[in-house]
Amino acid sequence: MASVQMPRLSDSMETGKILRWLKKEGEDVKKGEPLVEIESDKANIEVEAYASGKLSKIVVPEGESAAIGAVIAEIGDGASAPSAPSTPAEAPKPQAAKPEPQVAKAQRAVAATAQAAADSGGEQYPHGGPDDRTEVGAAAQAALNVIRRPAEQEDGERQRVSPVARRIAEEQGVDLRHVQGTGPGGRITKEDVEAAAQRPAAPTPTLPRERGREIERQPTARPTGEVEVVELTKLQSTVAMRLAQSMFSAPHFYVTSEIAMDDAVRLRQMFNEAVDKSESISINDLIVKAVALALTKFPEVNASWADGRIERKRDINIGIAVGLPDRLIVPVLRNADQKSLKEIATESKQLIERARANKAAAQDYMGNTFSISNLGMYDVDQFTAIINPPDSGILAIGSIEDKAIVKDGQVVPGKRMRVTLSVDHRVFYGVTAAQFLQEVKRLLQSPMALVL
Amino acid sequence: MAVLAMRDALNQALREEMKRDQAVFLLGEDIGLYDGSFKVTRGLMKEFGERRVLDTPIAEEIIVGTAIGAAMSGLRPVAEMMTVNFIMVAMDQVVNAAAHIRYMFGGGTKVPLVIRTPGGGGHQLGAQHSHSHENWFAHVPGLKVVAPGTPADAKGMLKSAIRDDNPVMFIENEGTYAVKGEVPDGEHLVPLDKNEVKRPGEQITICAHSRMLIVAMDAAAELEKDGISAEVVDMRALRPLDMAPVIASVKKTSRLITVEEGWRSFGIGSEIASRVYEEAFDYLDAPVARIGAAEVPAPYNKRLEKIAFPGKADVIVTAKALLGKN
Repeated sequence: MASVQMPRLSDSMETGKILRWLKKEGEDVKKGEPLVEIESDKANIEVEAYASGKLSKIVVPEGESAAIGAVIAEIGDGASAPSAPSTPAEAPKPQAAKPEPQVAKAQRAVAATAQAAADSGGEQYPHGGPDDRTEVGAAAQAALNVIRRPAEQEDGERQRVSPVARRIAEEQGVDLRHVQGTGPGGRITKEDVEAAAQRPAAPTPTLPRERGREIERQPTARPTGEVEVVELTKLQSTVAMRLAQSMFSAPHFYVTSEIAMDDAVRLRQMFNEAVDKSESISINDLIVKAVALALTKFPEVNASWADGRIERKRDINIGIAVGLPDRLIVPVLRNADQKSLKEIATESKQLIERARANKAAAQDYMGNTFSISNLGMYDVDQFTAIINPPDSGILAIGSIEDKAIVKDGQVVPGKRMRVTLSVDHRVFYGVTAAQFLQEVKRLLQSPMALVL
Repeated sequence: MAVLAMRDALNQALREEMKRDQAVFLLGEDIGLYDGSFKVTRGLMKEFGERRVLDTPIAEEIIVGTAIGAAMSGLRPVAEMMTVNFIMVAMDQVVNAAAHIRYMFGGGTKVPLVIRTPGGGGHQLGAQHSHSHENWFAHVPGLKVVAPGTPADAKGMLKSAIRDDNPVMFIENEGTYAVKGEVPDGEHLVPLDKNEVKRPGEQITICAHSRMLIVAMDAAAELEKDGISAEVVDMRALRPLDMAPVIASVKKTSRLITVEEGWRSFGIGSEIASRVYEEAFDYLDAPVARIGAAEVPAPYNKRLEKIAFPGKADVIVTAKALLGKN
């Protein structure tokens, strides 16, 4: 006869409520089979039977609560007839719930082991040698509590991944977001990742393993037949994976606008004439500031798609795409809306320098909420960019061109720049995109607002 | 190679070292005329005389203090504490004197002392006779702490301990004195700072020392019947703590159980777990599981006592839980 006790399902739990018995009195139960559904202070959890036998008695009926450790049912060996259903009055009272002292726990365990084999101590172990006890004692209980601890709700969105699983996932380019964890509390284990890496139809491309640190700096090329195979550095692999992920999971659409940059160009000139050369600002700094200010008015753009929900970010952190011969990086300028043009200019210079020198800190690449990719210096009319996760928008900047503009019936020279906004259609829609672009345009066309 | 009980392997080591070196002598309670409470010193007083096997009063502090003085004067004393529970009154001598003297004298003197003492419970001797305290000593720089779990290691490590120039806490276990195993004849030395894999395996690592090594080996044998391959690492060298075989094993299995007969809190397993988190974090697939005695003074009641100390069943169920098999 084994007693089923109210398990501790969370650290803060004191009592649990029986939601549903999944077995009836008299029914056979196998060890490991779901036995009862219990509501704790954190979650509803199905609890499995820890012993096989006949569910001889349900002590605590559905809807009633019991303290941790209280007997809620009995599982017998099937020999004895099921006793009459108990009355609710017999259920332990919730107010009795208190952390149970170890001794009491031990005493309960004694009751459970009453049928256990007689004392051991055969010839080989005359003094308390290894026993032939088959029931679990107090010794293992603490370890088991750790291993079996269910996921807590606070973990919420946070995925549980074992360290080795995380490492292997990184090495093999497995996207953990697409892996189902089978460990305790849904933890992703080594086996889960290995299985995911084997799956040919994985939702993300499997990337080559890291082949040592040196290739991080120096991509190696070796001839193979007719083609030259270029092994990717780890960083290139990551970029490839993230971009593919973004393109294939976020439905992109694009909105293009032409901005009159005459005043912005003039403002920059005036600004740079007034300050030391080391403090000079670029057109890109003006764009960063304009975008950041526009985002303060459009929180729906400063947002992320998060597994069926939208997360709006309070901080406005602008990622600035920097193309280097062998890699693409996006350092992040934090709280750009709260920084002056001068601060934006200085900080982005430092960020980009650190990135070029390969001395950037991990922090430099984290926390982006919106990004800008500027190919203006390469004489391009316009282009579309791929959204930089977890952003939901990226602004692609073309060159400023001298154009013939028709103004009040007259053809006049003007400076024009085409920008294209890529949008994750799950997060915001066309009208918002157009209005956001209008705001960026307004700010760049009346650039005094950027200096204030 | 003869098959000897642990107590006879220890006796052999003492006899061989006493023959080899005139400076080696024994002192302790009931070790001479009575042959020792656990018969480890059987026949030695008869063979070596009362000057080299000293029956002492029941005064642990005096036993250890005398041994330290003798060691500083050039002898190689082997003191016996009837059980490790009784050493508490001598802790000042062990920690403040034995462990520190060599350092405080700038290396000018050394303390080549061995304190043999059994820990362990399980035969209804109650809370004052049943505990395991090797972690207390393993905490102290200046001491070496070993806890062999096989007769061969017991002999080889005791001989090494007697020849070592530092104070060595030689932890035995009341539950293993009758355990038999093959023991090499004559000169057999086992280093004091090397742990080793006693049973190779693939899926899970079990660390244990002293009697729990036997428990772990038995559990591993049972687990194999269920198709689970466990690697058992003998943690006989506790200070200095040789982690190399554990780290290598965890890098292979990704899962670790530590087993000790003492309490879990602040225990040997806690230290091993910390080292693993420091040196092999990225190889773990599950939290390290520590098995130890229930956090109560050892119960006298036979059934309570049985479940208070770790056994094979605890290791087996924990191993299966770690592997998600129950």
